[in-house]
Amino acid sequence: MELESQRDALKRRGLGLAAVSYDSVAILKDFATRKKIAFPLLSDPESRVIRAFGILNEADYPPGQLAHGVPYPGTFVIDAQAVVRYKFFEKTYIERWTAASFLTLAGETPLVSAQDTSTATFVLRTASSSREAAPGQRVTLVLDFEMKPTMHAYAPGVHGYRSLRLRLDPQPLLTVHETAFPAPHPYHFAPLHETVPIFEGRFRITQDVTLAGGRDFTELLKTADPTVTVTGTLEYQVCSDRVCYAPAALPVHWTISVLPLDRERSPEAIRHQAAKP
Amino acid sequence: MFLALASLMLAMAQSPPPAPTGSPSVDPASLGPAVGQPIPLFEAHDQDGRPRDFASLAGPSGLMLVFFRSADW
Repeated sequence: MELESQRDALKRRGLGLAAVSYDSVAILKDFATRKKIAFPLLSDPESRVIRAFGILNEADYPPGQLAHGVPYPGTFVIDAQAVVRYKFFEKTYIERWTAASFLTLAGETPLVSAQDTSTATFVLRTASSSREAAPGQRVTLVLDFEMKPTMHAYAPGVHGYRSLRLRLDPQPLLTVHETAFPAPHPYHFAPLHETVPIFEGRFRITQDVTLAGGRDFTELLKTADPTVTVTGTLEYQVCSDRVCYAPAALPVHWTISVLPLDRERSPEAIRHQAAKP
Repeated sequence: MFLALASLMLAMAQSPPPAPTGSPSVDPASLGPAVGQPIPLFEAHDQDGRPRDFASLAGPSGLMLVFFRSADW
């Protein structure tokens, strides 16, 4: 499973990993054995921890339902002083943020390389946080730029130049989140008496996408090699302190293998039972 | 585990709970302690029946704590 595979990377960052659910110890033991999970799964059968965190989902699962007691699914990254540093809760329950995506956003490699492109003014290396994802999971697409000496690209918010922009082609199996840019530098161009936001040197932009959870992947998963290809265009304009190049665009693409959904349940004897009315 | 959760959307035996459409009134970003806030003290048993708390779970830099719906359905 995804979290187990990221456990070493989390450990290198000094982070422990644990997961809480309203399941019994017996269910969690069975699940951990079947899925070969070695990190702690915490049993919260009366939803005490879930309530203490204030994330009990009673709106969708009122008392009496089998699922009463479940949390809004989400993740906290907590520092050694027990203070929340990052928090991830998705809008729709089926869309899952992944640990690989967090590690990528936190600057951790390894990433899966996609393509290298060299232009007259910069080198672009693209990658993604994972090679594969299940429906509902999030993947971080990465664009690493290395501007050639004296060159700069224009950042979002600039006027009079084409700012750097990633446009992904829409497709039904993909939810595209907002592109994340680093903080730009102000650049003063004396001849025009203007100061504009730019990127120079090495910088990274990231783009999260989610394999759209509500969509039907059944047909795609029947194919021999189920993949989703993310395609798009990178728009940019680059200038140096002496030359300004025309606005340009570059095609970009990533391929994500689609993993099947897991339908296996715990043995009948230890399953949750709906409360008797 | 995430995969197991995703299976909820599929028709299954044992009358699975209805899939929520996502409560429009709930902003997920507002759930639980905010960034910069301390978490509540907690203790729970792990899959081996051992009691665990924050100190026993955290590494030197802290802890990634995931709340998920169920390992059962």
